[in-house]
Amino acid sequence: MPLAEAEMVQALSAMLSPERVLFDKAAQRVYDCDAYTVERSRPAVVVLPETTDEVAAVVRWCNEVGVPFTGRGAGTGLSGGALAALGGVVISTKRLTQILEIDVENRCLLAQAGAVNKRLSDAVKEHGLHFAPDPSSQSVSTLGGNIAENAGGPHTLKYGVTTQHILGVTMVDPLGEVVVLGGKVPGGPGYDFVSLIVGSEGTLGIVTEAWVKLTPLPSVVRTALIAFPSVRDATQTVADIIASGTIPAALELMDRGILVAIEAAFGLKYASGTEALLLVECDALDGTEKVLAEMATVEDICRRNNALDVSIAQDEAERQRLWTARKKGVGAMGRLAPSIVTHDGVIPRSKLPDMLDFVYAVAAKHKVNVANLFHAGDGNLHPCFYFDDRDPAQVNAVVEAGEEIVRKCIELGGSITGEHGIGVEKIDLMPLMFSPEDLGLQAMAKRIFNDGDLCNPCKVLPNQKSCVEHKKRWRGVAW
Amino acid sequence: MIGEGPGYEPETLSELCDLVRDAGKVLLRRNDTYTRAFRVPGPTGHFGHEDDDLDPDWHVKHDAQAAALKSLGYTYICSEAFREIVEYDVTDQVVRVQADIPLGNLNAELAKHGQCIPLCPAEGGDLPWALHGESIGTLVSMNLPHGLGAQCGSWRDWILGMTVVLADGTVAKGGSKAVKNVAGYDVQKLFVGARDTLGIVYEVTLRTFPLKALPTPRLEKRMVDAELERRRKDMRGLGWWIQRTSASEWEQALAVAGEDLVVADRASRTLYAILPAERDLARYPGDWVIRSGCGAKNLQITDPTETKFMKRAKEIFDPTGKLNPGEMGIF
Repeated sequence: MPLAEAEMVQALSAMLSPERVLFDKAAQRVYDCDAYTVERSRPAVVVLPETTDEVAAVVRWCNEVGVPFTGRGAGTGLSGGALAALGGVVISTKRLTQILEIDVENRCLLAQAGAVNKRLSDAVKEHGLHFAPDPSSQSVSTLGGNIAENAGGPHTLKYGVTTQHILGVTMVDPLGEVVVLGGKVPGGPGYDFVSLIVGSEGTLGIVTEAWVKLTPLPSVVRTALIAFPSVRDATQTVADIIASGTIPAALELMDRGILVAIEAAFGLKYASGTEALLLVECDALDGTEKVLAEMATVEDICRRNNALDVSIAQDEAERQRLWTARKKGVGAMGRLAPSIVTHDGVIPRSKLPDMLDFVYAVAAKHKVNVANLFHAGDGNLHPCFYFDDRDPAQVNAVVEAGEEIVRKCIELGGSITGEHGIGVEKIDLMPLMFSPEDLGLQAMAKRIFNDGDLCNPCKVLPNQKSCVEHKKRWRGVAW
Repeated sequence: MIGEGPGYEPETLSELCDLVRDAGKVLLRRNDTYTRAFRVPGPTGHFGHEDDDLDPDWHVKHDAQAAALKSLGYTYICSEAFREIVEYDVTDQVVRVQADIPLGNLNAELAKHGQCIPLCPAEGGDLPWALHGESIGTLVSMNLPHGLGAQCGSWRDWILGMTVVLADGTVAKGGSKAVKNVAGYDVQKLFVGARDTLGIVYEVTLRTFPLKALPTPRLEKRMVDAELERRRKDMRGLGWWIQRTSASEWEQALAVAGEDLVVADRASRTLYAILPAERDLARYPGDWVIRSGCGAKNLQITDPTETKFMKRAKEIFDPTGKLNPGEMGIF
């Protein structure tokens, strides 16, 4: 007999204090999805713990009464990782916001999971350091969410994704026990559980604190925005830059769809005949010459690939201006349609030119609008479909087009997700990439920490108990 | 040839799978001239000592050990045949190799295209990171520190995908060959440093590094060559003490190592000393130590949380405890 909502609220309010237990219709609606809005499922209750022990107490209670629970940061995830798939309790980390220790000498800091990504970098800027993972959501997304999803970002091309910057975690395991793994001194012997936990989409427990590595800020940065007369010229340039052995700090591509949105939103203008823009950033800790040489190589490759215009920022203000198109691109697309689905797939970088042609062909076939802005240097595509989600036919077309693109990624030797995660969005696509034996191996790894079905159920691995029949309900409940 | 020589030498993946599936206990060995002294001897007393190469009767001894292993019910697998570069995408800087290929062979091939695996490939000498003859599988499964760790990362950063043979003989893979991938759990990373106790590393997909961007290792040599040579000549009773500390204790740790200190890698705060097996240096909060030549003392995992989850992982992956028994020191 499932527990009634009122009983849940009563028990949790006694544990946390009533103002930190949300259960009204508005709260249930706000927390029924993350930034992947195609699938929704209402939690019964949302709790806002302020300490690791409170998280542990809630998790233990959930185990006692058999209620599923799902951790949640800022809800900026793009695959439904924070969706309360079977209802139950959403455990929000939004009140776990403290930076607990800054250790400049060891270049690391300890923060609670609800601390916002950018705040970590801001806190250590005066020491010439930063937290390198920079997802586009970094001004709101939390450390815990970044860890759960193994978040990427433009500069992870050179600096590595979140997993390379997490030294240790404090986690409430699925049974409510507090476990501490890893720490300030990395690379020790034993099984690397921290690497397994990062990117596990909150299915192995709820991380409440983490030691993160801090990276010195580069002292020399050069940023260029290059206009191309065709997307193919731009993608070929990316492939050529990577093949040359140059590793820029960031290598981002934007196509005409984004430019149209940016022009409409911010009045920015680009060289006439521009069909694609490439944003390239080269940096170094020291040595201006090295950066200039890298940039010269890049510029040379761009010119050979028919670049129309190469603008290199002369100062920080100009650099910020060049980044505008990239950073505000998706936001600007809000002008084009009521809904946007940002897809996420990876292909070998040398296949970019053919892949982009394929994306446009698929969009045309399904009669959906697509714009592309993505981490070209990693081969990490983000086709953005913009559409009206009140029209079921359009929603269908977007889903179908997306799946076609993902299948192509696998065919080319890539991945079904580079940084957004599996969540519920891509759970049925996992068998395209992994054999039953491969999935069995992943299930074994999951069981090390989670042998039950209460901690963030129905994520990552397909065909979990009691998830299949619920899945039909998630789609089509858009308000 | 299976059944000849001191151990089994599988030549195909299915032979390897059959051996593992049917074995009661497995002791795996790959090309590991340097690394094997870092292993922890299981119930058989195999490995974990610095004496093999220096002994002129090494082969005789090895055969005798193999016979002893057999009588103890071990399937002794000497894996050497899986040495292929399966796939090398030069422009994407991704290479897929079988686990028995020596690092030096792989780096020689990568160097033709201006790339490398940045494990100090430019030079080595007699220092602890002279790992060129070691097979990739050994290096991944031992995950010893190396001289460019702080600048270029290590196996956990380079491995994009992996194929393993599990205890029941199943072949499974984790990850992919995409340079960025968050599909599913990062299971491949569990096998890094796991000393083949969760499954046997069969193939790895690695990100390569452009040679032209390779930094110079910043290592401070603290022992004069003659003394190092003297100690290296007869490592009997001696072994490496590799210790990483936090910044706060680093200077102190160097001072404590004193005349036994061979190299200081300040960038990663890792010190390399040569010590008699019975001597220990001071330990510090959060630090770790890996040793060679000291048998059971080579690896000591004591953190209760880590131990608990390692035991749980072992129960799930290898319920009968057949894979490299004793190697992790705790099971």
